[in-house]
Amino acid sequence: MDLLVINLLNGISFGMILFLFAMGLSITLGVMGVLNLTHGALFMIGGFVGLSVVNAGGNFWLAVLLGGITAGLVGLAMEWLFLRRLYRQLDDQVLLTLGLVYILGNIALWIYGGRVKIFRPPSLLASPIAIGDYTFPLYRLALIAIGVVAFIGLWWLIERTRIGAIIRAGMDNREMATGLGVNYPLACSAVFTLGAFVGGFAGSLATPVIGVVFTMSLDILLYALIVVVVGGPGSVLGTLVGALIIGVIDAFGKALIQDFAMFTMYIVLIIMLLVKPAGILGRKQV
Amino acid sequence: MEALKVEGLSKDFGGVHAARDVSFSVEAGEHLAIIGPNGAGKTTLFNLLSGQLTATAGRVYLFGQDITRMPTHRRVDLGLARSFQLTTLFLNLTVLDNTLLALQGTQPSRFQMFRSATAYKHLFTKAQELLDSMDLWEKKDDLVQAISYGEQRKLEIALSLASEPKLLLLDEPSTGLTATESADIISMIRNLGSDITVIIVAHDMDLVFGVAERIIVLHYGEIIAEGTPEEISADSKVKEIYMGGEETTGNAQSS
Amino acid sequence: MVRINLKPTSYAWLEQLVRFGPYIITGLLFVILPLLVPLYLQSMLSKVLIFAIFALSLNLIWGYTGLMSLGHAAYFGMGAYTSAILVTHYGIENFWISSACSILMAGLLAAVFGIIALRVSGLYFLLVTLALGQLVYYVAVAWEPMTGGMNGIIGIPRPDLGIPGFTWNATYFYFFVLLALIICFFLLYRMVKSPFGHALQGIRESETRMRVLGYNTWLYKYIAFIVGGLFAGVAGVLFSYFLGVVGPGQASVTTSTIVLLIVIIGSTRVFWGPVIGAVVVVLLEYFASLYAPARWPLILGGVFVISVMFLRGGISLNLLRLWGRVGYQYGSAKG
Repeated sequence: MDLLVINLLNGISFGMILFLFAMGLSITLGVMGVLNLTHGALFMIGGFVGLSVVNAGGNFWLAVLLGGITAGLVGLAMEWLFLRRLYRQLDDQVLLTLGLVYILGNIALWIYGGRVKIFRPPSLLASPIAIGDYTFPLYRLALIAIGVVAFIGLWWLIERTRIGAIIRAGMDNREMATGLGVNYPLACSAVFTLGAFVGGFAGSLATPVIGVVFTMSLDILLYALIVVVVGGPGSVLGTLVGALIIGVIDAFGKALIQDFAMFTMYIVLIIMLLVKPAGILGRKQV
Repeated sequence: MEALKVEGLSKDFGGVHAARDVSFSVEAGEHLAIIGPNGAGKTTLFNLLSGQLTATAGRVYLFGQDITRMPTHRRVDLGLARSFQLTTLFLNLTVLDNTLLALQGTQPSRFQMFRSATAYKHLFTKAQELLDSMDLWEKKDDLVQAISYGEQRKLEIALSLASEPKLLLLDEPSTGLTATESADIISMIRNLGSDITVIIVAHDMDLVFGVAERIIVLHYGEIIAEGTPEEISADSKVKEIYMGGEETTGNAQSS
Repeated sequence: MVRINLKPTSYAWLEQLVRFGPYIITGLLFVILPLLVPLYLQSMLSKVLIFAIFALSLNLIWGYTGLMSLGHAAYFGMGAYTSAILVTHYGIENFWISSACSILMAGLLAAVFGIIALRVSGLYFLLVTLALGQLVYYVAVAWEPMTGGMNGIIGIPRPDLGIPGFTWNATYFYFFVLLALIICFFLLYRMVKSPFGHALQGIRESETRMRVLGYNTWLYKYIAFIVGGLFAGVAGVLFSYFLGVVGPGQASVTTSTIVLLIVIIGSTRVFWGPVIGAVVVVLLEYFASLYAPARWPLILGGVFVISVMFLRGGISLNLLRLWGRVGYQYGSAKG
């Protein structure tokens, strides 16, 4: 029973990370119709920047914040330089972002070397708590809490504010949204940057738990893709639900089967793509 | 002999009833026009007939055969053809290549994987005839994206004639054309005579009255009137919902 | 595309020479080059040819049919692994038998994967092909008894052609692969020029229109997908003999990415484009391995970005346009 709870909590905390990370992908896909394969690299950048800050003696929360900001800036640069010219050209988006993934991954290898690195959670959260006979890191509970807060914030932003309404309108009809009196491309850039920031922030937060390494971009992207497909592009609640489901499946899968991870995740992705491409709560058919 | 019979055809898009219980039939050789305000469901109906959409209820019979669940290409085998409201041509290919592809669509040679396409000379001759009849032969080597809109619309219709169809569905064939070009279309359709059953969706009243032997009026996915052109123009219901707005919905007649 | 030559002139022979000149010269180059080049470079040339076949197979489904696959290496890997397994595990040394089986296996895989992948289109097709390719990769890694896991299979000998007294050297191998390329090139060229090939292009341009013209578009895409898989398998088989070892990398997303790059650099719009792409990319890889081996992914990514942003249409298309202008002086109106 305790083991069950532990795995569940592991799954939920990982799911929260996935939620934060996948939101960026979900919005980008839903809003701009852009498949941004570099989103995984942003996660990695958040982790590495966080690592550098902590190694330089910086405070944990500062590190995480800077990780997010750096990722946000990189994302903004990518959007401005490349992606906005490729609206609706799927093939080109894939090729370009794939190329960027290779570039960013290799730069990371260059700077940080090839081994998985982690940094410690803040001492406040470092002590484990007891669940039955087992101990469970307090930090993971903190992740769950952060995830909940972020969900409320993002949900409010997308579903309850004027900016959010315009973005949602743009998901269905970009031309119309442009005529609504707001600088729509600017709003898109802002949302894209926010998504990149949150993605990098998630990467930083995740490092004490899963570490950071130069090869992780495509792997973590895959998880996010599954989440977005399961939850539906553009839906905050859907992304949360999808992320929690995938997180829990992943946690239990790893606990039960030895070489579980990626292979089974790919099968899940394929099944989801065939069965329900619009996701559970999806609002847009891509 | 009924070319087309539609029974209780409905299409429900999760709450939006684009077509409600539509029933009508068309005799072989007849020229029918379907009109109605924007959003009445005319293109949806065409999509149901040609197989782009599957009906949620009802049946469609083509020359007596139930085609309700048949994929589009099999309906074409049975003699159906269609043109689109939004030009659906192969923009990056030449006019000639577009035509050859269209002509090949119902030929057994279309599965040939090793003989060169240029070996099928009879297709070239047919392409020349077809394009000549539309005055497009001089443009045969031009890329479709380079020819004028009016020429594209004519090519659109030419392609739909390539398979020598028995039932032709024309979706807004003259939209965006000049008065002269529209007149060309009208006489072209007239000349098809009673060899081909034609169903036209149109907003252009000149076209409708110049071509149709019978008219069906759609509104919110339902048939609200059916009859000869004289009957329809006298029908008060129709006048109310559609003809009254003719000044605002009509196309460029004075240009 | 189809062209009708309406007015032959007395300069027709010159026109033909100018038009076909470059092809003839390139062809001769491929034949003569290995004889002029030091041995250690000859293997690189073989690699170019193998990847040319691989890239031509991808271009059939991508450039001609419009289906971009992120997992085309699955069939390359399947061909390579089957060949390696048959030769080393089961002792089926005869090249003709083992390669035929391997190519068929690759085609079979494409047949199975095609049914799955073609249920969706656009973005989802991309993701499904990626996932399917990765599945093959993970099977290759996990099924150790059969595939040797991460270490792969080693010790693959040169192909046994069943010719008594024949021994291999690098130059013979090069011409062997060149022959394979010529055959594949010819077969694919015929296919692309046939009514079937034209239909594929129609599907790429507008699948809706093709359906309404009477084409069973799914069937066309499916057949193209399988043919693409078959020829990728050919390349895989040759690669297993070329390298002498086979590893999971041959089915990985990295290999799928490289062949994508080869095709876009070369040009998706010109039939022989992928061959040029193979020359460029393999050469690049060779120089990178000499001067900056750890930076190869960086260079690869950089070339991707440059190709997408600046090299619209690929090298071959731009070459053709250039040649079209030159040819115009001699009276040939179309390049």
